[in-house]
Amino acid sequence: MRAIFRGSQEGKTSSLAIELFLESHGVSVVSDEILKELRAGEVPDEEPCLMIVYAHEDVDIASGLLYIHDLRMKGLLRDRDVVALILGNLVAERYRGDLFLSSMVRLLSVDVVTTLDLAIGRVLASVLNDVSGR
Amino acid sequence: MMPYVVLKRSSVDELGNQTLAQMIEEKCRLHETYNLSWLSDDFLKRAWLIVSYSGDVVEFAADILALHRMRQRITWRDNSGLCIVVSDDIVDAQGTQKRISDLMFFITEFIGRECFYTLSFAKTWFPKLLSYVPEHSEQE
Repeated sequence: MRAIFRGSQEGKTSSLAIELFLESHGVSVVSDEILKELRAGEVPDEEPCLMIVYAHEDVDIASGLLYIHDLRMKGLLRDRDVVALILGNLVAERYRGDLFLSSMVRLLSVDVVTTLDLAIGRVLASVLNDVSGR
Repeated sequence: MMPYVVLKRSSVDELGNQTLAQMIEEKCRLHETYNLSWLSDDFLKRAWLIVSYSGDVVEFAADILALHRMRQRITWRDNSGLCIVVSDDIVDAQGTQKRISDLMFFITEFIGRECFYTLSFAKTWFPKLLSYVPEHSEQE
């Protein structure tokens, strides 16, 4: 399985931890460039894409959400693709139940929002299982 | 010709719309709309300022995405500046009274706004901003 992963410049250690987790579960981490090839029909397009965006701190949430929006606007991310947003430990606690963030996440059809600890501990494995079972 | 300002109205707070419209009309021509995508790119590019007003948090989230879409076509390099105004209720509901939360600040910065106010701050700062309106629009 392939996953597109967008890490954080400021949170390199956590980004690496997510990448290692994915690789240890047999997932190859690829660049978002592959989406252009997929949509152009250059690569066999059989399964939904998994996109994981990691926000190490508050500012990464903003850039991550606009990044997802960009891909959706360009038609590179489709409805059946699975998008997960992982909030790092430096993200302010108030965003865990933030109405604005919830609204943005819904409008962008982000499937999973979780914290770094939960992602590594439980959620990512479940998402991978879900995607591979489709 | 007097420069014009485009106001993206809120669909949920008419009083806020009227407050902003009144301040703008004192200084320039006003063009109001409920949806920026209804206006031509050329018209938006020639506006001196585009003002987006959101009356609640869900409308604000939708407006952010609409503005991000618009920014793919109309950038800060064009004539028009972008000012984002949100209802005071939004910051109250977020529990961040007297300041706008970091996330809202960052996300509006990324889409290239010049300024980001709550409605009550706009009442103070808008007249100052509008005092920079040139008397004649050079691009018309």
